Amino acid sequence: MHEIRITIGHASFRICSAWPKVIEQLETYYAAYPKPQIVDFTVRLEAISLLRRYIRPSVMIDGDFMLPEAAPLPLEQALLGAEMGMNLQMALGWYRQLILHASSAEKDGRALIMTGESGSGKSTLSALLGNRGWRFMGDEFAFIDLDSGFAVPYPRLISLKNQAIAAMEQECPNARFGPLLKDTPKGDIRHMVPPIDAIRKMDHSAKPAMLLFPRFGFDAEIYDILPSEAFMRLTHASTNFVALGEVGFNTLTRFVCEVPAYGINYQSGDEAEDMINKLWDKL
Amino acid sequence: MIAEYKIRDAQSLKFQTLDYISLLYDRLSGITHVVTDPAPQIIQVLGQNYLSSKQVETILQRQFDMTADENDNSFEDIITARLDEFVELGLVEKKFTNMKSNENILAKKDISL
Repeated sequence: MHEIRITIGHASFRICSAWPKVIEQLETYYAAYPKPQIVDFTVRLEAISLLRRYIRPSVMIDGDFMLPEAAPLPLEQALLGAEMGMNLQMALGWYRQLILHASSAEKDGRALIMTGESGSGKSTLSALLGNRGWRFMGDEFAFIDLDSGFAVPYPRLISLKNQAIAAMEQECPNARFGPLLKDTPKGDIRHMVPPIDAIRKMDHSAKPAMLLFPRFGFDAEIYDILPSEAFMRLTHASTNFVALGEVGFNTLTRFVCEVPAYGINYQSGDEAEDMINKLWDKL
Repeated sequence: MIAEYKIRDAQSLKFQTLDYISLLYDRLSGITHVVTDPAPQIIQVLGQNYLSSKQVETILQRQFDMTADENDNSFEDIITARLDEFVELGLVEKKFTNMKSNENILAKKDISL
């Protein structure tokens, strides 16, 4: 097996693969990330059988935590397999902070947390803001420190989906993009290397200042979200709220009580950015 | 014989009020219960001593100025329903007893029926 070790934020991974070109690909896109000696999790991208290592290669995602029923991916989508494998380790095995399925960005030392269902645009907005004066902190997970309540960055490769691919290619023509992965289980996907500033400051936490529930494709609107609604929605957006017990309860209730929450409906990235800046300026 | 209720373990419960709901975290089960009025007040009134729903009603009316809802359901019926739900959730214990056993508790709380 070939392997690469990567640190992303507070977490570190060993990704092993039966195919050297998968590791070479990961080395290319994760070149700027620290390489740890000791890792938290191992992800294995293995062939589903000896035959399928060579003929119509098919990747099975395995690791410290795995889903037995997960469908294998074609070798061309191994980068997505690595992403899914790392997501799985964090979602099922990370207990150092409260996990929120959310993106985040930082400005002036304060963090904006954005959460919502798939397609809400939270990943795209974090990438967009990361190119417009904010520090990109993460597009998939926001971690809330159990003591300080600060948001901990997790700036892995940005996973752009469907229409967001063209939008970000236009927004960041000089950014480094991965190969276009067509017709994956999540639609079309193209990875984007985060701005170097986001990677260099991956251990710089920030105090959460605003929680946003974006919804893409609706007429422009900004509305308040009550702490009770934010709490209910964030319990669904956290994979370890229950497992963390009382400390998870304390962390999440403090978060929703202290951090103002808003919903925004928007039709374009520019529109969303205007709304976010208006709300941010009022803080 | 009447039904009487008490908190299973008051030390195991933690409250957090968020605008129109209250969260009730049970340390014993690790479960967060989402409740609305009058459920939080019922839990606050109940202690380690058994009280009937009528006694809970009397205390609530005195301490929180609570009455029946607009559908004119009996307030005691509402309290009884919530208490029985708490019993099913394992937050409250229930027993059947005679009325006199709690007269001294009510006397301490300065409440007459």
